[in-house]
Amino acid sequence: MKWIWQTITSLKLTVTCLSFSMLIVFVGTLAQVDQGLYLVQDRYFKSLFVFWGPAGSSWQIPVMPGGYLVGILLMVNLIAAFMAKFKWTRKKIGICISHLGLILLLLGQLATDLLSRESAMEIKEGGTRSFSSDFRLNELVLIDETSPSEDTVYAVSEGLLQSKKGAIIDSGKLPFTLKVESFWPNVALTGSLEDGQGQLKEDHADYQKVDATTGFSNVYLKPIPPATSMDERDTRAAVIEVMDGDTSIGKWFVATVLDPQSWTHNGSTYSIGMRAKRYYENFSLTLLKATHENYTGTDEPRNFASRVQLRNASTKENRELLIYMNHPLRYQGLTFYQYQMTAGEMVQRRGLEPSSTFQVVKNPTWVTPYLACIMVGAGLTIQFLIHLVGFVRRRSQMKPSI
Amino acid sequence: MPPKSLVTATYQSKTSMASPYRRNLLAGWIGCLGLLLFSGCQREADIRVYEVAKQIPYSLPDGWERVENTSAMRLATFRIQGENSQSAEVAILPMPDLQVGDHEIVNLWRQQLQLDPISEKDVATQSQPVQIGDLQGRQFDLVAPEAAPGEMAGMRIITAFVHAPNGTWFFKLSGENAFLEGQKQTFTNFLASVDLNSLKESISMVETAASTPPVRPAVASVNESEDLPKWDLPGHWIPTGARSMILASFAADGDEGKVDITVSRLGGGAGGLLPNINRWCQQIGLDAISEEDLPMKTTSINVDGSPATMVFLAGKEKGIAATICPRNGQTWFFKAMGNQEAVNREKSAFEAFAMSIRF
Repeated sequence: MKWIWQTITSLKLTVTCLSFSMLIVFVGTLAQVDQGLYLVQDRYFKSLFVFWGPAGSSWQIPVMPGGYLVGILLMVNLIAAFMAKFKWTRKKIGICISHLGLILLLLGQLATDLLSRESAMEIKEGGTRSFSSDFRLNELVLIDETSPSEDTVYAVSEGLLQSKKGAIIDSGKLPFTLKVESFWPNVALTGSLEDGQGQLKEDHADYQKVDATTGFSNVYLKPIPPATSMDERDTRAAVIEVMDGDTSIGKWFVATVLDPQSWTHNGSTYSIGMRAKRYYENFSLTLLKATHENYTGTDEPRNFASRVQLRNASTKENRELLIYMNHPLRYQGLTFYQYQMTAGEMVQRRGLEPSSTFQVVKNPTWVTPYLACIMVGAGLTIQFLIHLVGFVRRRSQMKPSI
Repeated sequence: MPPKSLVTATYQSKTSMASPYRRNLLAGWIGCLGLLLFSGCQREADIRVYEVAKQIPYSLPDGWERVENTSAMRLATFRIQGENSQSAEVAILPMPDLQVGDHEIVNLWRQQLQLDPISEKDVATQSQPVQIGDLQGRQFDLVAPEAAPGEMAGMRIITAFVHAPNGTWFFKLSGENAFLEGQKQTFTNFLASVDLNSLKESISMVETAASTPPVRPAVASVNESEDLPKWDLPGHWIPTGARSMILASFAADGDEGKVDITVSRLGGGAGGLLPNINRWCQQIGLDAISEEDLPMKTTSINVDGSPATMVFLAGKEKGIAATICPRNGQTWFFKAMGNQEAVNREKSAFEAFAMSIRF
C-alpha cells in the first residue's frame, strides 16, 4: 500500500506523465497528415490507450497511453502530492493557490472535452433557423408528422445503431420496434447502375444493392474508409426494418445525404431518415443580409458580416444584430461565430442563393482556463511578494559591517 | 544561505504515508473526477424524444392549388379555380433588395391594366392598410378600364406589399373583375395568415438540404419512386427531393454555378410545344419565338423508343436545357435551368441523362 502511495505522489510520475504528454502531442500531430483531425482526436487524445495493428488485420495492441490516461494520472499525482507533502502555512498560501489553479486547469480541460459541443447553423438569406447541426454526430430520426402544428421526433443515436447492428431496438420511447439490418459508418452511393441486362456496370462492380423494400430501394453503395479531410463529412447509412409488434411495415434505406421518406400507418403519417444530430433552441435567428466584401481588386477578404434578427417568444425579444469576424453573438450559453459564407459579387454572378453559416459553440466550462491562469499567476505573485518582503526585512535588520 | 525555492522545498520534504484524513480527501477528489467522467460518458442519450413546431408559412384557403411558377421572380404561384371556368392567380414575389420605389412596382401592374402610373406620394391615398403576417402593409385594388383593349378588358389586380426585416414582399391576386370580388376577403385572410419569417424557406427549400453542416457529402443519385421512369443519373447530381409539381429534382454544382434539374409531368399535350418553350423564354428573359423558329431551337430525339424534343435556350444570363417527352397521353418535362455557363457545363451530362430515360 505504501509503495502505491509513494508512486502516485512521486515527482517521477509527474515527469513521466509530462514526457508522455509531449510524445502524444508530437505523434498525434504527425498522424493528422494521414488520419485527419477528428480521427486523431479520438485515437490519441480522447482515449486511455493508443492502439496499433498491422494494416488489414483485425487485432490491435496498446502501444502508448492515450491523452485521457495521462491527464488523469497527472491530476491524481498532482492532487496526491499536494495533499501528502504540502504543509498548510500562511507563508505557503501562494503555492497553495497556484496548485489549485493547476488542478482547476486540468479539471476544466477535461470538463470542456466532455461537456462542450460544436455545431453549425446554416441559414439562407431570408431564412430562419432554430436549430444547429452537429459537425460529426448523426442520428436516425423517426418523425410523427400527424399533428398539423408540431412534429414528434424520435431520434436514435448512431452509437446505439452501431451497437445494435443486426439486432432489434425495442424501447418504450419509440412508437415502433426497429431492426437495424445494416449500418455503415461511411459509404459512397449511386443509383440505377444496371446496364439493361440487370448487370452492374463495369466501373461500379464493387457496389452492392441495398436490401430495402420501401422508398429508396434502387440504390447501390460501397463502404469506404472514414473521411480524413476537415472539408468532408462521412455519409452514414443504414437499412432499418420498422415493425409494429411482430409485423414488418417495411425496410427503409436511410443515409445522411438522402431526404426522409414518409409513409402512413393506422392513419398516422411518419417519416424516417438519417441526418446530422440536431440541437434545437427556444429562440430563432433569421438571416437578413449576408455581406462578403473583398479589398478592391483582390481576393483578400475585408468584411464577413451577417445581419440577423433574433426572436425569442419566451422573453419577448425581437432584435436585430450583427455577427462578424471576431465579434460573435453570445446568447443563452451559446456562442455564434461567423464561420462560412456564400455571399458577395461572385456568388451573385453564379446565381447562388446567399447564405451564412455560424459555428455554434456550447462550452459551459469556458471560464475555467481563464480562472485557472489567474489563480496560478496570482499564487506565484503572492509567493514572490512574501519572499521579497521577508528578504527586504532581513536585509534591513542586518547591521552594516565596516 | 539563500532561501530555498519553495517548490523545491515542498517536494524535497520527506515523503510519508498520508494521514487518514488526507487519504479520504484524495479519495473524495478521485471520486469527483470519476463522477465527472461518468457524467460526460452518459451525456449522449441513446434515444431522444422531442417536439418541434411545424413551420407553417401560410394557411392555404380551400380551392387554392399550388402550380408551377411562370416567372423566376416568383416564390410561389397558386391557381384559384371557380365555377364556369373562372379562374384567378395568386403570386408571391419576394424582393429582398428592392432598389426602386414601391409605386414603381405597382405601376408595372397598372400599366398591364392600361392605368396611368402613380407617384410615390399617391401611395398613401390610393392604397389601404392591410395585415400581412404580423406587419402592416398596403393594398392596391386595380381594375382595368372598360375601354381597355383585348384581353385586359374586365381584368383586375389586387396587390399588397409589406416591408419586412427580410426584405419587401409583394402579393398579387389577378383575374377577372367579377370573380375577384368574391375572392378578395379570402385573399385578405391569406395575407394575414402568412408567416414572413419562414415563408421563403418553407416554400423554396427542401429542408434537409440546408440541415446538414456545409461540407460536401459523398455522391448520391437515386431514382426514388416506382411511378417515375428509370434513368442513369450523372454521378455529381445530388437529389433534392420532390415538391408540389416537381416529381423529382436534382442539383448540379460547379465553379460556373448551380443548375437545378427538375422532372415534372402534365396531362395531355400540356398546352403544346410552342407555348411551353415561350414560357421558358420568358423565364430567362428571351423574346417569344414563333412556330417558324422552332426547328432552330429544338432537336428531335428518341427516348425509350418514342419521339421526344430536346430544347436548348440561352438567355443573357440564364439558360435552359430541356427534354419534352409525350408518353401514354401525358407529357414529361425534364428541365435543367441555371446560369448560362453552368447549363453549358451540364449540357453533355443532361443529354446523357435524357437519353437514358426508360419508362
